[in-house]
Amino acid sequence: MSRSDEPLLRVDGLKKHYPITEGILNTEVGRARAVDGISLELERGETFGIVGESGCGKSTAAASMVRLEEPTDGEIRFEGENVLEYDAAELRRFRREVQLIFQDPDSSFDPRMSVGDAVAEPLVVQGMSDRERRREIVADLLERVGLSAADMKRYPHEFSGGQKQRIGLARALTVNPKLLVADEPVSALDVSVQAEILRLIDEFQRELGLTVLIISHDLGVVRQVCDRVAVMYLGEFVEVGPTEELFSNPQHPYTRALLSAIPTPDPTDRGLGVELTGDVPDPSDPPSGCKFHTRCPEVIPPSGIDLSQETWRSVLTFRKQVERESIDVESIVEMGVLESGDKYGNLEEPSPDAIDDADLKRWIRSEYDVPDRLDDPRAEATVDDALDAIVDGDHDRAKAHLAEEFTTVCEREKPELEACGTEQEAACHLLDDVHVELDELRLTE
Amino acid sequence: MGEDTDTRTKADGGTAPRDVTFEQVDWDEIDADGVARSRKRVAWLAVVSLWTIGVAYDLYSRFVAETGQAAFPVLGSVSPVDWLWSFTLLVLLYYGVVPLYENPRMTRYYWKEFKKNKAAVVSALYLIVVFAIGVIGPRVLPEPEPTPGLENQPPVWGSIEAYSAGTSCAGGTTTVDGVTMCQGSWQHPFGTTSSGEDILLSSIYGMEVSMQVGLIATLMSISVAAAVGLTAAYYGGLVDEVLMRYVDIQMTFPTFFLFLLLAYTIGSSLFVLILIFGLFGWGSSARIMRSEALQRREEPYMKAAKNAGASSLWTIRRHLLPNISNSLITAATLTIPSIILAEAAIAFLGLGDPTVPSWGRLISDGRDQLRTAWWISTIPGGFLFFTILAFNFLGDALRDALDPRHGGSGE
Repeated sequence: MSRSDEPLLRVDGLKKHYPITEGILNTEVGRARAVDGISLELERGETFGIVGESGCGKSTAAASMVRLEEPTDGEIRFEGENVLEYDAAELRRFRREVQLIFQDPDSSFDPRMSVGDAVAEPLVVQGMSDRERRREIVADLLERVGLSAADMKRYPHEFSGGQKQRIGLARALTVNPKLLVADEPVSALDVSVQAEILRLIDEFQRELGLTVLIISHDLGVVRQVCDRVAVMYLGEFVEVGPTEELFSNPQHPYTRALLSAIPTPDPTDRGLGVELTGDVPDPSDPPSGCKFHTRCPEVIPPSGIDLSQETWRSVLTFRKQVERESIDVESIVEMGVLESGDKYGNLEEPSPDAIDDADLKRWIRSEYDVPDRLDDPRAEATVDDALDAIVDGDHDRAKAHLAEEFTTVCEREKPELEACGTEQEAACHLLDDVHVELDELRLTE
Repeated sequence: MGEDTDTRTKADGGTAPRDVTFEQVDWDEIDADGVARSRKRVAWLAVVSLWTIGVAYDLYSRFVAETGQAAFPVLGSVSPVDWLWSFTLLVLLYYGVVPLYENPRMTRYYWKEFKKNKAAVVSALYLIVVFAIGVIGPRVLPEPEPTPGLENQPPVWGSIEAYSAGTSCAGGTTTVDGVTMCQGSWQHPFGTTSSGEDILLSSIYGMEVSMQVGLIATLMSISVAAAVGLTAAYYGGLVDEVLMRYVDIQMTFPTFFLFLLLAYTIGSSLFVLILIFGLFGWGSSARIMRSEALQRREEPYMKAAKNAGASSLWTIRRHLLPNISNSLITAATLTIPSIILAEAAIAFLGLGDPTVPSWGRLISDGRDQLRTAWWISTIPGGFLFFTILAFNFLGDALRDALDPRHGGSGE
């Protein structure tokens, strides 16, 4: 067909943004950046995995790659052909080469269509008009995925989730695709059934030489079946690499955090001890620089600031709260009064004015896990200034103070994927010393 | 279940290598073959073309050649309502009866589900009888004619004071308490109207009118509503906006007044009535179908169809339409009775075509004589009442029977 040295699928800078509109004129007021520039190459016969938390854009990425959603930007080449330039007929032919398995086996089947018709549907819409032939193919496939040919006449609601996912696999295989995209193929299933489905996919992959792209939030699944893995965060790949290398030697703090969240059966193994706090940021308003810096446990401190990593993280979180003006002095006072016991015990209505400034500052610090005294004198002075400003009610001054001193390279500059190890790539400023040096230069100016 | 259909698996033992598997399909060959149509489809297209040619010829001789209604071999001249009626029956045959005949297993299953609802079975029988008599009766029976002298004859079991009836009494007279009573006779089993028309004959002619109005106008109305509602929901955006705003505008103009307007300007006829109700009464049905289609549209199986390479038309017809059939059947069962009732109401008010033997006209004929000759209004009124009721029961049962999720293990 086409040159075999081409990768089967090559995706370059794929973006999918959903416009957020308002009013009757549908004015665009923002964009949800579900997928924000991902690139990958799928070699023939390999199994590639994309992992990430819910809402990081994995499913949208899969749907955009196979043009179930029209990408906003980027390039997709299938066997060297530009998928985005396909016309209707070419797109239909492309659907024959690439098939999707859906996450939810319950809702991915039309409840009013018998299973036989559902599995035969790709054949019909691709133009096979011989009814008997379709029947034979469907019967054969159903038996090969572990069901019986007699099941053809039954309706989806008569099957269990696992059986339905087998049928889903059969439906995807009817047109003999080259690439199988499995979007969370087992996340809706029991663990025992998960293994069966994964084994079935694996068997077909070996038998037919399929290329498989698996999207999952389950690192166990990915580790079990994938040759290569990409870790996705907020619409971008933060690390890509061969499964074993990535799992044994994760380079990106986010990967490390994900890996440490895998429960291990060994009670003495405390894992990597990394824990993520906070929520995934809103994709319509992603953080600047490295998108992970708001939650990163290893965020780089500005040079000249000498704090323990933990303290630095707390200080940065505190700064972010100040910036969002989400410091609720009133409720901090209320809590503080309750906990202080005698000192303010006779206070009728706790209000910030009635509290000693020093106490209030201490309470705010403890609310955000900032130690009462920072080791670094410069940092301590800045935090203290900012707290004074907050106590005075002058948030702008607090913001300015903190921003001046505590701006990290992570929020200023966006890290690019770069090689680290033989085939591993990660996007993190920790991997490049260059930025740190630049930072130093600027500060010592 | 379905032992008859599993012979193939038994024949080759289920394990023998199959001759057809998905790996062996040569898709380039299939692409080259192009679109093949089944014989059934070709036959259907031929019938539809024949019908279209007939209509075109009729229109030509009426308006271009101006030789009046075209005369066809066997059929003679065909009225506009009959054109619509024949097409409606063809559509019901092709999309209703033929699929049921082709899939006996499915038909048996539907029937098993359907017969659980006894009221619906009785309703269906009643409607079939009314439909059959309504279709065949007017072809073989003479038209009801006013017969001077035989006015206000009572039904076969009743009697009426002779001074209230016409000059003669078909069933003879008796004297009760010194009053001469006119007896009913088998000559006019349901009696006659105040102009001496036979009520049984008129009711039979009225059956055809009601069925025509109900079915033709509903088929039109539901087809347009489904097309508009599904298109709007499937494509969304501007298409949705334009279509639904048009519906809003259309719905501000009641079909009843539109009919009155046309009745005064171009004259009222059954054909105009059917067109008005069929082409302008679909607004609320379209809204109902759109709102359900909007939900279905987001289901992953819609994406699965796209993933298979299905066109929009295929997805709408095979996935969206069947899955809003609850709304569709509900809309149809609401539309049929309301249109039949509207037609009766228009005839009752004397706004309809006076030559059409409608139930509404019969009811209106008898309204002055309810005290003396109650049967004139009551008998056609009873037919109307039971027809409306039967359609409602039928719709309810159909909605349940056609949903495969109902009979199975349940949710």
